[in-house]
Amino acid sequence: MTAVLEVEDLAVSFPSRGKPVRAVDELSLSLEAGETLGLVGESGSGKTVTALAALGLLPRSSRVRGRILFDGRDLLTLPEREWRRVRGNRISMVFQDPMTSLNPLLTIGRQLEEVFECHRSLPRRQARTASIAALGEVGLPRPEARMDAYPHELSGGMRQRVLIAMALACRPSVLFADEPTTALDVTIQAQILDLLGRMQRESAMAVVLITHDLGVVASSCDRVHVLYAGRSMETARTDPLFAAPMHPYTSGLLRSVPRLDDPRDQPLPTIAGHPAVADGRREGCPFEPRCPHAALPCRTDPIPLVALPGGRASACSRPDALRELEARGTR
Amino acid sequence: MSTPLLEVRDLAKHFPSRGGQADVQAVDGVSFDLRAGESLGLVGESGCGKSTLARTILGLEAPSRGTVHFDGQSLGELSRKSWKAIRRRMQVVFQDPFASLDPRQSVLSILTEPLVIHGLFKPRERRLRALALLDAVGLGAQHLHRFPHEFSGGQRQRIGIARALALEPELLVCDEPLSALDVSIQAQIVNLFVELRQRFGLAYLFIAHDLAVVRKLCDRVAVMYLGRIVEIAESEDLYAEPGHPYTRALFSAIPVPDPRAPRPRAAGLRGEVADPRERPTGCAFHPRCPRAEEVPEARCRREGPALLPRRMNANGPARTMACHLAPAGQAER
Repeated sequence: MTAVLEVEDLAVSFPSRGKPVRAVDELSLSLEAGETLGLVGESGSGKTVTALAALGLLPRSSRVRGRILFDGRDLLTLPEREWRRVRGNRISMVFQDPMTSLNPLLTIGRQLEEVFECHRSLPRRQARTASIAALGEVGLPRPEARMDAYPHELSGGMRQRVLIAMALACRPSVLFADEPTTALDVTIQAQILDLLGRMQRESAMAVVLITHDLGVVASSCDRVHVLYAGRSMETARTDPLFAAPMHPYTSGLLRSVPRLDDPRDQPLPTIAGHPAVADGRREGCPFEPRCPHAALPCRTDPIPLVALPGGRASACSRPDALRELEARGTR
Repeated sequence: MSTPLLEVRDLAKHFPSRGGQADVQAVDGVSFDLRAGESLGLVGESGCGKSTLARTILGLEAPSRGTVHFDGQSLGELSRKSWKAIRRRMQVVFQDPFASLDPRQSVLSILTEPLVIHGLFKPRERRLRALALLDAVGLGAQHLHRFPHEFSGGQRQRIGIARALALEPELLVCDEPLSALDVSIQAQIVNLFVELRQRFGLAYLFIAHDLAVVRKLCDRVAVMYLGRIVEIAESEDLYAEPGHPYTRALFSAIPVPDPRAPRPRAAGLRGEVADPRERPTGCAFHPRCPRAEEVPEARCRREGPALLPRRMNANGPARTMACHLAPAGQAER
């Protein structure tokens, strides 16, 4: 398989009063056509910044290094004019909050027509027909009547459908979905994930699903990339990752999620401490202060992703930790 | 039987709408009891009225109808002074630890303010009390003089919990206290809630949408849909087999963190949660219910089912639920 999108050594930092904040550091990933890659991590782990970098939406003040290869070009070198042909057309994004990512002053029909007018140069009437079809595809009831509705007249689930219709209007090769269901209720979440999966199968689109919900990852992703404080901790296919995580952070995260079938009267396993802040510290492993396997070298040594058997990779190089994790599995 | 700690009867809260539209019936006839030391989970999707129900019980909203009794006293008839005495016994932990602490108050001041208001402890002893509270929630003396912005989300929620414990309440109303926290921190706070309940014999009214968390923390669970309780059961029974079609849909829609598990399904659930301004006739769930057609004569559309002990099928669980599919009065308890 060939990769449709490749991120190589991406580093994004933001100026702050002290040292610059490194939101993402040494991140590499590749995305194949038709697959769903989960980007997993807690707040501040760099998930959203990675997506914004791949869409050329980072604020001007940010400093970006590395390469993002798409269609034989490095997206990070594109001038803004070129970006406009790619963004929303070949690479799209669905944002987390369906309440704030639509323009409240325009009807949803108008906002959808714009996509077709900009990227497909369709005249208004054809853009309208195409928009109605797009709304129908995402399962919005009575799409023609909804065209004249304003965002506030729709429920959260319906707004998210509209955003998905906009993002998929031009049949992009890559879709970044940033916590697309976090603001929605579980029964609606299941409907939206079904919809994304169906649209993806129809067009061999690659999806980067950004989420903190390990249940969503388990049910929707082919591969997973676990981030912590802007760094890659582990990457693997979904099944082996959940069966036997090979990084202490992944292991801790999986064990700390309450499940419907675990013993009620035992305390949940936890990860000590609180999430690291991407504070510009470069040496060593960012998870070291919370890691049950930490040793002295973890504070200072670099933590490259090291390949492991089965096409996976882990940034943890403590052999004893890995042996223990391998022996234990998830629980 | 002794008086329940909290007795809620036919409680309703309607908010007026502008422009002559129908009122928003956020809570519409909710009844339940909570015994001392018991933990009751309140689950349901956004807009089902769980937070409004909590706020009405706490006296932060005036009920449109119905009554709340705390330890036998009707809260609707209380004077300001008696309310103050009740508030000492009934405290709240809010969802957002970033918005529910005053950024200008130090931790010491946050934790001693309730003591000052209620005139508890001598001034010099209040500091010691604050230290004991910090210790109970896993923080220490080094945190006493810091301000909220110096803490992470999980630590702030610990401070919010310590504040709620300051007056040694009997009931803690917790309104989604975990949903603003990161996954690795949620587990810490869940364990803290379990530990505090054992240590102080607290009763919880615990609002959450994460059913796995509620299972850890609650003895009984009430499931709400559009302002009403559709099912209420012992946790063990509910999790072994959900009864009401809505509860079933809710359970099957939860994604499980195990790739081998069945994929979450919308479980034949149609459409979206209805607008509480346009409450469907009859059973509010009927337009989405996958089984409404099994009930003859469109009864689900015409008539709202009462919350009664019922049995879903001959061998099925006996449950207190509101559903026409199950005839009433066949349950043993």
